[in-house]
Amino acid sequence: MKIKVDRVSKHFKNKIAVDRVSFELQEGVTGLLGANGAGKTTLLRMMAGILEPSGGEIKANDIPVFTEEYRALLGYLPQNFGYYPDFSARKFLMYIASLKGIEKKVAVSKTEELLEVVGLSDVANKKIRTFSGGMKQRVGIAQALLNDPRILILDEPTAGLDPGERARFRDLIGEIGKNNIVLFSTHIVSDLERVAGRVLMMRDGAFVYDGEWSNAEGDLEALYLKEIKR
Amino acid sequence: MNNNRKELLRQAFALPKPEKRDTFLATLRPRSVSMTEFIFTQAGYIRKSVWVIMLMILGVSAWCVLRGSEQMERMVAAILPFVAAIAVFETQRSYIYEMTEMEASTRFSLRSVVFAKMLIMGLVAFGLIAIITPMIAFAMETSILMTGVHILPPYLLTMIVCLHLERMNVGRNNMYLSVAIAAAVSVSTFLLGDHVAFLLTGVSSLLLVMVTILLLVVTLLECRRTLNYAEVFV
Repeated sequence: MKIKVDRVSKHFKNKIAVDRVSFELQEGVTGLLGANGAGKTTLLRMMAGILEPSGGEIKANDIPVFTEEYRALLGYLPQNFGYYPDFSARKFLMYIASLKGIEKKVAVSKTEELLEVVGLSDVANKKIRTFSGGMKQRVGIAQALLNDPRILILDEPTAGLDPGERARFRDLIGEIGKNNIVLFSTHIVSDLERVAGRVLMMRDGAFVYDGEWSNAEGDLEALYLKEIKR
Repeated sequence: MNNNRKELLRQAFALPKPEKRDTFLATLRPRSVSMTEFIFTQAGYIRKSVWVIMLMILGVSAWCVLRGSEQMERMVAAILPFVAAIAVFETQRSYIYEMTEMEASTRFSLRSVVFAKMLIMGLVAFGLIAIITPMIAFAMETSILMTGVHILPPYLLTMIVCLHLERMNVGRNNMYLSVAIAAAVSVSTFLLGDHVAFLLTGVSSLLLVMVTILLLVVTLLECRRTLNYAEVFV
């Protein structure tokens, strides 16, 4: 599986949010690093097929992004997401499974499995509105994994997670990334530690760094701080 | 079995390295789910309170008819805008509760979710009107067509205004706006009923039918615009 992002740009009125970026992703975990307003969310939304690029194209194994076939391969966690207040965690996951076209029997077992993975089995029947920020985020992560996605796009997935949950999340993502494409955005360099094979750093809608984490581990934080301060 | 034997077996029957894995995976297509199956599934996620309110509206409408009131037609016409408001509110939920981005990224997309909810609520409203209209026509000894022409316009008008506002920020983010519009149309229908009846004296039935059909066409166009709007992520 390969995602090809070819000269993709996005303009909002006079503002260029993403400026002709090109890259390819293959199986593995890629971290998208950048300060707030760097263009990460816009790029991820375009890759998730919910925002039309102003120019360029995105394909996964020649499957265009705005197709049901592409979305069937996709798991996506938006940066900000809501929930229906009358839904419990279990009902929420079953609902998202129904939108992903997962058979009911499979959805039931997958929901139970993921509730266990994200540590919400005990509160599965509680309304999401009673959950803490970290618990809501874990429900969001679980819904993205329901269809065993070949492409997993996560926008600031660690937001609201405590240090223990962050560590568990990194393990989970590392495992998924062995056979699938995982792209996740963050503005915290340490989130990428030990999990991201590759790092893309964004500033003003363009990449200022694209390389292996292992090659840049020491310098990355310094480079990132320098980029943020600009 | 001891570890040594396990190791020997593992070596003897080692799995071959995966070859052409991507080619194989590309042949695996997602399970096909028809739109009908999808819509049935979504009916299960309509809130229980919606079904209860719809049943209550049916009950109140039936009560108005069975009471034999002379104003039964006007009373039912004044109740139906609430059916429209509930239907629009249900399709609006993705926006109100910020579920659009997540729903848009799923296989069926936001447009399908909105379409399914719209169709389910439309069928419920149709069913309710299809039950109540012949009852009124029978009780008032008029034709079903003319009864429909008298009770449908407030419902259709509410649908048009609510669907239009749903596509604007003011309506998308305000869960009570559709109920407020329904209340306004309902009160107007009840209070202005005599004046409207006076104005319509002498107006041909054909013209009334045509006005109702026009409202129906505009409602369907508004439904289509709302669906197209769901394709664009804001």
